[in-house]
Amino acid sequence: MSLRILIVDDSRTARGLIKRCLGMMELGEPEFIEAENGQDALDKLEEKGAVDLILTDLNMPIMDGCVLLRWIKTSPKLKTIPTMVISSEGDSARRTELLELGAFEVMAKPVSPMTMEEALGPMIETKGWHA
Amino acid sequence: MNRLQEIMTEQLAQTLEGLSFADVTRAEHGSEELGSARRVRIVSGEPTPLTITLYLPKNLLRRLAAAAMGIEEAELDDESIDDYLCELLNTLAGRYLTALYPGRTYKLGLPQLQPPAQPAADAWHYQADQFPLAVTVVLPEGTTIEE
Repeated sequence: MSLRILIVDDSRTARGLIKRCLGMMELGEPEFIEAENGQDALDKLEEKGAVDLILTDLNMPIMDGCVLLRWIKTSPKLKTIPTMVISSEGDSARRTELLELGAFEVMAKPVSPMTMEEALGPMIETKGWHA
Repeated sequence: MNRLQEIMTEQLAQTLEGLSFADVTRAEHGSEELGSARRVRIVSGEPTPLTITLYLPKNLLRRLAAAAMGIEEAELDDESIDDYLCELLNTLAGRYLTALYPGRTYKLGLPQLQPPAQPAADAWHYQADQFPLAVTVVLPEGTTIEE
């Protein structure tokens, strides 16, 4: 069964870059589900069911990534889904806050195949997601 | 070059290299071409009110967006080009504020596309892959960046 990955970013460019980087990793042929903001992500999770991994931006309209993370990590149904934040907002105070909220990693934009591998590598090993 | 420009020069070079594999160098003068360039603005409210505006000609944007997405320039429509421009400024602004206020929290708005306009006289000018681009960082009058 293929890996299901939810990518949350209001920028089509950013979602495309993330998919491109993930496509270069040995993850088989993941199923990508895309959402444009936190509310859209929660709607997609409701509609399409659980995913294996969530990658979310922070700075988005309607519902930002921080509020989305709070929703996910307080929901009995969703809280076990590994969630990584990918954002240009890289200040250390914000990073600490996001890790305390339950993100397993906070990755700086712009993403590249190398930084994606560094950030996701340990989770892929732990979960045995290599194709 | 003042500290604000020094940080912008470094972050712009790193952002464009990371996103689109482009080389950025400083330019002494602006280009008339920028008067009709695509323009996008982002506002930060805290800790210091600040507006960053980016000016890029469409031919440069098309080249950068195609490089970022790994597709041919002809495959890009106007919406994709504008989306790339907004993402570029969003990434640049986040990196710029992180470098400007190390260890501190800041608030960043969403990128807003603006009608074309000639960059202000105090704009900082650059070249990326031989095309001109410009950036302005504007603080309210009398405001200074807290160290």
